[in-house]
Amino acid sequence: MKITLKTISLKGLGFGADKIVAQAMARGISHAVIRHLRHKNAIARHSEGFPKSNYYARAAQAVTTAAAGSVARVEIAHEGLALHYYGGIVYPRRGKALAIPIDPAAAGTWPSERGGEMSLVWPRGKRRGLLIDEKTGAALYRLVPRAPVKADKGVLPPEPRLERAAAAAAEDCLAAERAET
Amino acid sequence: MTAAERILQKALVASSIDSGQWNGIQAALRDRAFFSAQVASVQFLHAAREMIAARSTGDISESEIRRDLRRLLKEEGYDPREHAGTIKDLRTRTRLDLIIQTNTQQARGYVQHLEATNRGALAAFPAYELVRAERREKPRAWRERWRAAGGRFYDAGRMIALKTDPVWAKISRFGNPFPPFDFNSGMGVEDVSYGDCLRLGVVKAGDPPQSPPEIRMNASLQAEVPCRDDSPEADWLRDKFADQIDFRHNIAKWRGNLIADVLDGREKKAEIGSGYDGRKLSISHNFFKAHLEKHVGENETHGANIPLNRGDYDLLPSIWRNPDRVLPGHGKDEGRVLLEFDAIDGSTFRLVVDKDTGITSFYRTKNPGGA
Repeated sequence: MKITLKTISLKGLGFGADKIVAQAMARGISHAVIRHLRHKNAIARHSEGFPKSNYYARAAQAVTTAAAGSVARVEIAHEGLALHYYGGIVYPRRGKALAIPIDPAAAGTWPSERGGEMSLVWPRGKRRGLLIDEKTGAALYRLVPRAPVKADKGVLPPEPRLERAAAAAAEDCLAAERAET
Repeated sequence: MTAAERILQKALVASSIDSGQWNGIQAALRDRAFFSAQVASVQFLHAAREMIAARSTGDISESEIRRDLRRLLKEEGYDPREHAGTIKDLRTRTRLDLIIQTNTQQARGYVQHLEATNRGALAAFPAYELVRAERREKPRAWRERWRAAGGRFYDAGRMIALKTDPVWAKISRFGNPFPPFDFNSGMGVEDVSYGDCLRLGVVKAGDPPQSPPEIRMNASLQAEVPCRDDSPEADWLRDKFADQIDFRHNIAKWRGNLIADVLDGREKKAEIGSGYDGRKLSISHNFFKAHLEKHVGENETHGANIPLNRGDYDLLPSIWRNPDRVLPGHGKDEGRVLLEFDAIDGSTFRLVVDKDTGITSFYRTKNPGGA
């Protein structure tokens, strides 16, 4: 699902309503967001033993910014990114619990992908359960009825940085066009 | 254009040729196909294309795609034989992730490249720099590859070139001027501003602006791919792809792209090759124009039907040639033939054909077996 994560007003940046300048500003914003996400990916820690998912680097590939009129919209069609940015609570779509991988062998896989090689352990009265690998006895997933996700506004650069990026791109665009004439 | 649209535009092309042979095909022709090396199942390709398009919009996880494709392979009786457990085995996570990630990244790379090469973006950011976006345990020798492709180094070793420089397509295994540049490469591009380009000497003040690249004109994949009808290349393509490829007036086109041409009215009509009963089937723009208004997207209102998307029309040649079931029509389809083709999600594509007038309907139903 494509979600507009951020809307930046270009009006106040003083470059008028020229379409070509607006394209440049949109690209400046995309450039800033992509660099930010790649940096976030580079410094992201992952649990010991788990492979690096490169989640934010993959999100960077999905960044697009479109300028329409005096507004630029940053859209990132990447699974779960809006949830990380806005925060929220995740509930299971099907079944009664979410399955959170807790063993590297389960990284990046849903239980339904593994087939019927696991057994369910859910002690009575407890709010959490486990899915255990029948062959190895390892606990692969923690089962929870819901999972809260804290909002992380650091998913995107702060708005002043995006405005500066847009303004810098506009100046570069005008300089390039003037130099050519 | 979105990444999903880009993926769904590509013609389904099933064949037994390997990745090396695919690389030998003109990049422009290869770019218009949705394929995977040695995958001869149109059903698999259709399912993969549909799910990867959904993946590119963040609507489905890679795990779900792998699960569903493995189920389809099992239903089709897939047997990798001596390749079991290797990258040639379609069931392995390595192979499926390669298909999913490469196609997703290519579509996203294309869409970002379109955005990066409009006039304003080219003026503000005339160049790309090749950078590492994801770490790899065993990185390829990108600096050597860049040098061999004629790339220049700036500012103590930065790999920078104008966005329209042919070096970008030359470093790419796929022939695209945008990432990914190879399977699992982890390399990406970063815009270089006009000011930095001046400072580094990538451009000089007063240089004429770059023209938006040809890829923008090919955005609808409708630009033509030259290939002489009587060339060895054409002979080879006919041999490997049979009626999946069409040659007219020294232009090569995948039949799926030809169907898109008829859908969009660029061609008035076309013929689909020999069907299950040996006959050819005609398709016309007039039929599709009326049909799109009944069965595509929100236009589909029949409760037993699932809305079609434009890419589903690619299946017409396969359904005509090799349906899963051939049933007699009844009720309003009395006297007609129903050709059914099962989709991965349990739904069924149904092509209704009148022996005298040709196609009368095409839709996706939740109820197989002619119901």
